[in-house]
Amino acid sequence: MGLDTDVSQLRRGDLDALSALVARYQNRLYRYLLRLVRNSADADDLFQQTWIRVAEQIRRYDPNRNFDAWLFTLARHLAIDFLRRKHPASLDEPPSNDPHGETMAAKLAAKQPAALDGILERERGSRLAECVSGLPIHYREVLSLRFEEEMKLEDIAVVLDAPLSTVKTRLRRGLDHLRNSLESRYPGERWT
Amino acid sequence: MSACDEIRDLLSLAAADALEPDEDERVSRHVHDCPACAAELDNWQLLARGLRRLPTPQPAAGVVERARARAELAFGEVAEQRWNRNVLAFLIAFAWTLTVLSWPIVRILSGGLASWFTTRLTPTWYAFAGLTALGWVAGGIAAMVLAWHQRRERRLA
Amino acid sequence: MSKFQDNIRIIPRAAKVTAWIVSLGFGLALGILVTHPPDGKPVPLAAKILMPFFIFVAALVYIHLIGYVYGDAKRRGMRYVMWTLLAIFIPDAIGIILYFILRDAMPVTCPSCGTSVLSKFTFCPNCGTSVKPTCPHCGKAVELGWTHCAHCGSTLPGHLPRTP
Repeated sequence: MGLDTDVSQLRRGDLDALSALVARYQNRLYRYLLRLVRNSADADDLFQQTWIRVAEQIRRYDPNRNFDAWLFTLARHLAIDFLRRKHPASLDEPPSNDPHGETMAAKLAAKQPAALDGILERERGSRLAECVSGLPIHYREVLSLRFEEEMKLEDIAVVLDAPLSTVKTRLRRGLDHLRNSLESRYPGERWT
Repeated sequence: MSACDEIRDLLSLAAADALEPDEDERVSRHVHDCPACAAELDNWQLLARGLRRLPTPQPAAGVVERARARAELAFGEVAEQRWNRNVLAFLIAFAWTLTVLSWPIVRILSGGLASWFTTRLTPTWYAFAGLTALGWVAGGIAAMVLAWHQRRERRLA
Repeated sequence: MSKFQDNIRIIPRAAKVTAWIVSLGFGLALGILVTHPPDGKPVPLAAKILMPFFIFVAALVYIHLIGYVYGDAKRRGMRYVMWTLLAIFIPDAIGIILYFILRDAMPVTCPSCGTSVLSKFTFCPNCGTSVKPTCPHCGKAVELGWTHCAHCGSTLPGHLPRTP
């Protein structure tokens, strides 16, 4: 069943389409929320709330728009509202050595399958994840959407509700910050 | 080497495939001739690949299922609300239709059929207006009494 | 099974039968009246056709609605006799509108013993299990999404949206 079919079925009230959509996006949506709030318990909650919001607002969704962008925009609003209430400081620019980020990276590393040849790669991956976690939220989300979600720039602009130029700027600055962070913490080592 | 400086600014975006086609061309042409910038581009692309390959965190087992269940409930509620709103709209239209329709009926029953296109203020008209007003007032009073009753019941529950 | 059809089944059969009989009666009676008006003056043709038809449809819908109020109020555990009378006697269908606005929620089934529990109750009268999420301190019903009990003010444990 294609995405468009599922979405139009959902608009007509088909609950199987809802299950299909939840399954289709489960990892991607969860990953994005996790990148934003950096806490699996909060991400769980926001995951639930996002899908409830989808059920409530699906009739207002314009089928000509990109569903991915719409879904991630909903998720982002909920996450930002949540952060504004619970951790307003995290919406400002925190220093790169954020303790929050380190806990997250450890959790991510623990969730990797323990393949022997994957260990080295896992270690490198966890260092990268750690540094990404330490970035300010505006850079984290752009990097996640671009590299993990592989979203088009126009769609990222929709999700962020920002002009395309801002997206590119954040992307560039985010990559710069990330590289600085990696090189200062693990100088001279391979981090990918 | 200002060309290199310019290109260097674009290299990170190049690794993110975020350049305009003309910028992309400039970069590829420069990188073809400049080994320093080519090496830089390589570094950025390595970083980009690392980002693309970050492990995907998975939600815990129950989370997805619970989200789906809650969303289903919300869906049902939305549908229920829409239905209720449509029913109420229909009923209000129906009530108005009855109010308007009862006028000619009353006229017929009171025998003044031929003159029902004129708007003389006959006693029949007053009777009809009075009856309708009584109906709506009675409805209003009943609404208040019932709402008060309901509030009492819910407070005790 | 559309939603409309599901609701039509709530109307007791007696009401449906009465509806058809009474509506046809009214329609015919008015039909006769318009063809032989009491004051002798002729009625426009449009009126002759439309008025009996309208009264037939109006009476049909009205009596079905009264039947629906009866059946629906009964299954929700409300005072159905009172509501049915209100629906009948408050003119111009206002009583019916009132009913729709003020009616209780549907009863829920107890997850342990399966009996139907009226929506205003928190515990099953048959086995005692709670049918709504409750406050651990005062036992009253709380709603999903609350962080504190609205009745006694104590903080609610865990994070309610996470419990099914």
